[in-house]
Amino acid sequence: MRLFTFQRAASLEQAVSAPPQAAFLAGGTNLVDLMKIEVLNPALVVDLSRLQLRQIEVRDGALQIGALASNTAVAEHPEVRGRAPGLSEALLSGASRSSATPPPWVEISCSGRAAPTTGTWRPGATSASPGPARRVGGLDADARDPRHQRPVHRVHPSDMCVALYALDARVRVRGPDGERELAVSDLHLLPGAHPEREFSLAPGELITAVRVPLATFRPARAT
Amino acid sequence: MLPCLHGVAARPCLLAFCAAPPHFEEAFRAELRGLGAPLLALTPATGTFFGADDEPRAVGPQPELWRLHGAGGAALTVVLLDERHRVRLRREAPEAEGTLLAAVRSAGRAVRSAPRGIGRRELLLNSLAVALGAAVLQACAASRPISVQQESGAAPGLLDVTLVVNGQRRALRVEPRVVLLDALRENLGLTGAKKGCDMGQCGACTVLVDGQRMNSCLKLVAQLDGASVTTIEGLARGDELHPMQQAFIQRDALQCGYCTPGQILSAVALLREGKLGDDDEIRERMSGNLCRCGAYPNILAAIKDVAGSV
Repeated sequence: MRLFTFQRAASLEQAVSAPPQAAFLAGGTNLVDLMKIEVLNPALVVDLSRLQLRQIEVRDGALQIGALASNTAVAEHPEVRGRAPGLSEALLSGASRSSATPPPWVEISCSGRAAPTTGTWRPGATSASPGPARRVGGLDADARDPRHQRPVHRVHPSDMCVALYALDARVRVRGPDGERELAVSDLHLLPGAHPEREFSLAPGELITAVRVPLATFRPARAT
Repeated sequence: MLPCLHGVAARPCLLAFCAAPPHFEEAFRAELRGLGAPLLALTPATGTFFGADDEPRAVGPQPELWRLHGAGGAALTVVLLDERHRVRLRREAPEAEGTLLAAVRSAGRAVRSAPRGIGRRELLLNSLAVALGAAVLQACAASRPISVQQESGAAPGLLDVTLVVNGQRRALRVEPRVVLLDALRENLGLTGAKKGCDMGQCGACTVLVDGQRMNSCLKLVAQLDGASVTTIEGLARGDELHPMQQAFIQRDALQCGYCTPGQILSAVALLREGKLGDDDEIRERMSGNLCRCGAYPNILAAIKDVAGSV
């Protein structure tokens, strides 16, 4: 790992006003790993772990998960288990099924999970019927199976992200110019001309929370 | 044969060159007698011979021995001689009494617990060599972090971090890129946490940070100022093993043992998390700790033993 300067952010404002080349450090599972193999070599690392972003609560019609909430905390939280059980199950099953993702109860922050930089998009099942490409867990615009010229579905390597796509989750982002919110499906970029760019976040922007809308459907009633 | 060692002919012997006169308590002398190897403790101005059964005997300064063994600047230079007084091991340590006591204790334990019938003298020498090596390493590691009071102002790029490790406050001065695993092993001499994959996948480096299990290979120690860390060294109470350690032994839940410290800490945390469920759930929740020997069935059995007895 190359040497770097370490700064601890005392506030969100201070964090987002860091110079654009700074790397944000939450749990470290992704960033430290990539720094160890010198894929990422930031000169400045801004530590976010002391920020108050661990809250999990129901707010404004959505389940709001602070970006620093650990995966364990999210998976075990009663509101998550009750209102978005699929998210809890995805986190709990992420450990043994996918070698790319560390076990959820080792502390990893929610933002790290929503925006993992290590995984590769893996091809999923090819679509049975031709038609416009579909995103499944954050997918594919143009990719086609080379043999059959049919659209290909690709599944995000993070189990959590697949659940977030299914739940129409949105992420709240704080940047130097203020706050905005975007759909998870707009957060991830497909590998295109710049495969090293995986997110639509601008330099200095920071995910502060993931918002899962409360289910609007009701169980079908027998008529 | 050196004149001062006439009394210990044909026996292994320890030489301790100390910068300052050491204070060996009665407890230390009892350990030494039980071990069966005499100790010659030397300062530049004095020499004291601790024999097997009699009172310590003054033998006067031994400048020839100092010269011969090149002892000088270190607080302690320890030399282990075999029965023909050939040098078997020579080590320097920054601290005298504690290092020797730890070494003699652990060598004594090894000698006492050895089965009858094997060469006692060779065993004694090997035990002493291993124990001295380990104790000196421990002493060197413990003294390595520069004490905060010694220098004014942090050196450029270095960070001062305080951790509570196994209940003890430890001050560290480290580069920001140092991960917890390396700080524990290299700076604090706690080598129980193991470096396996070094990329957060195998779990051999699992420790508890503020009660939560964590892969210490991916955690910058700079982030943990003030945190409380428990390693495998902190589980036992004196000579009494933690129930999980005991269960791993009873169930033979290991083969090579490399993953075991991580397995045990993960299992301890699992019980505290209180989410045990059925066998499958235990396996799932232990899936962050890999065991290439395949001791999983016995690890599961050990965890269930402890869970059932709580």
